[in-house]
Amino acid sequence: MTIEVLYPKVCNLFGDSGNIKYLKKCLPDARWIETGFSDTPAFVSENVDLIYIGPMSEKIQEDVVERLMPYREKIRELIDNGTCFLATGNAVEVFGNEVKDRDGTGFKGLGVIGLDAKRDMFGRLNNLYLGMYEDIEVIGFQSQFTTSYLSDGQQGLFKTVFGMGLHQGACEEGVRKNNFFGTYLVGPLLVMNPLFTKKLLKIMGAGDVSLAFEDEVMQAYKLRVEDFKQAKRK
Amino acid sequence: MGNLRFYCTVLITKIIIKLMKMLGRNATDMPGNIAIKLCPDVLRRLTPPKHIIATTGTNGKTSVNNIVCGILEHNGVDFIDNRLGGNIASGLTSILIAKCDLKGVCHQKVASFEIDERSAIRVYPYLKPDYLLCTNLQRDSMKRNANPEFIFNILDKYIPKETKLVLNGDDMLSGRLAEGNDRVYFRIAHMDGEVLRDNIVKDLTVCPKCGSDIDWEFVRFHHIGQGKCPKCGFGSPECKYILKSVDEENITIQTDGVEEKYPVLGTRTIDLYNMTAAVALCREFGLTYEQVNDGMKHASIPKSRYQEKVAGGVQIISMLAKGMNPIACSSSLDVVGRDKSNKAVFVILDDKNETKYSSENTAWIYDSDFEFLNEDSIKQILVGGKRAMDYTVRLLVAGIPEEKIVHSLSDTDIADMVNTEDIQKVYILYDMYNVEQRDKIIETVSRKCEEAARRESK
Repeated sequence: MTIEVLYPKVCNLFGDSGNIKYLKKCLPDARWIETGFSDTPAFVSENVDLIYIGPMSEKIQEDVVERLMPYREKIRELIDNGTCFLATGNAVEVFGNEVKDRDGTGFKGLGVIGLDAKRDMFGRLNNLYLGMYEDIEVIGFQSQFTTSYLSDGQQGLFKTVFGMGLHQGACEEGVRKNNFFGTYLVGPLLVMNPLFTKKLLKIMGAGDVSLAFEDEVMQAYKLRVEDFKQAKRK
Repeated sequence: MGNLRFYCTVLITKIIIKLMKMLGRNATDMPGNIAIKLCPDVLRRLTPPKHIIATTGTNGKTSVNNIVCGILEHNGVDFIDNRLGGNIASGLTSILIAKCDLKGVCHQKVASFEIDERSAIRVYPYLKPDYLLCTNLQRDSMKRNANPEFIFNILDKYIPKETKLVLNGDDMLSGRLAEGNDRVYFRIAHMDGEVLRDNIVKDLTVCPKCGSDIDWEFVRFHHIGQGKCPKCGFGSPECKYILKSVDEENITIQTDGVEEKYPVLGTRTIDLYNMTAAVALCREFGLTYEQVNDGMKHASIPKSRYQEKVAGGVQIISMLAKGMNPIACSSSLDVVGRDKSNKAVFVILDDKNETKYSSENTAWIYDSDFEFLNEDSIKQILVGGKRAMDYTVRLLVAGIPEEKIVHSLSDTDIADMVNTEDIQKVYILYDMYNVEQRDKIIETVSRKCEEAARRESK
């Protein structure tokens, strides 16, 4: 099993590196490729089972798009062929169509998924989110400057139970295209959502592996889901 | 009409401040908030002291401002300050109104303010510091400060053109602020035998100008150190103030080729940065070596964040490990990890304030170096509070053996679970909203240590 982490030195905001730390514990025998900012991504020349990219600053977003643009067709091909991607926080926007700031600035994304984002650097949005992925509850934190909209025919990732979704009132959060998983939920998503992590590992081809510290992680998850539900009532 | 509104606002706010002080309250932000509501441009209309020196940055600004104020005080400078709190526009408005006459004019010669970096947009158009020190720019609360680049852009845009900057030469991120402004830098030289830390978070790893990997001469912690871009030449600047050495009594700072000794106020790396920064700021402001040196002897770093006592021969140390701020938390974890004494460590970092209204966002704990607690000298880690399971998982991910971790969802029961056998120290890492819980733990641990000592002496 080979996992490529794209630009971990610069795409690591909001505790999202916890996802990789945890996956490393779950898959101790996996091969890890940490792609440097000036390096050619490994997925260009070899098979990888998961491509992960975490949140970044707004300037780095534009730099990442520039660096990945030469491989746009390859990325599109990988998504079409079912390669697993996980993009968290504003990394999702790198793969989308466009980010447009309210001041008129912005940038074009890779355009491989149907997502358009509106940005307001004076309006930070912080939320709790609880949604459904198939039959399981998924929880997470949102902390972002953007709200997003899916193109016609583009599928979301989670069904919103409460929280903002892609924008206020959206019934979906994130984006799913074949095995491309993109979500605005930041932080240690895979630690906080062991049931989702199990499903992701299966899709990646890892099979029915036990999670690292499964008992403790499940206890933490149950307590947190209950806490989120109580917080909603406050 | 505008003037009348302003004068009435000054008068009403002064009365509110007086009343609050009579009730024993600090009157930091609230009166200023009311003043801004009554007269939205009140900060523009107030006449501040003629000279303003200010300190901003992610970490260390309170300590630096405290040292600077201590030095000013000892030298008889007529000044106002915000040491009691209030580092955003409302707090600064409160302090200016408290100290001004009924026409809104402050007659003191100097103001020494700590200014929140996020508030630059609301403060600097009206309060223009003659000298502004930036301690560093690092990752902070994601909810408020997003990322360091976001804060950099705010400061960069709003720092007044005429302000002279005093910047950290070991921080290539804040070192680029307001590039057109006059500036000096301070730094700490790499010392023999110095222990360097490789943290999870490094907010500058690639050149901000061309995106190439930085070649580091050394990294002291996070992204603080000396480096250079091999491609475009961007790198650490020449520094005017360089801390060259430290011993038990003094720090030695080299300035323009001359070595000057100042008293030590603290020995942690962050203390050394804060002292060097304060010296640089005061010297740039025009104080002589003798004035700064004498003043430093009477200055101090706030102790409210660090307390220690001895009970039954065991040293009990409580340290603030600011929640939501992974850098400040890692700094406390670093102190505990470096201490080679056998010890137990309490982790009580739940943010009680956030829990009141929501479910606490704990994503930041994966940016904090809990790996530093993976030391043989740490015999037990006790995690208490609502988020105990989240911290337990974090500690396991950090590689801490399961048998060392004790957890309880109860705020108070956790103290009874401490094993005081064969330990010399107990550390209590607490969040600023957990002072009550900290005190209960200190009480219980003290009692247990004293009982154990009595049993042993029998």
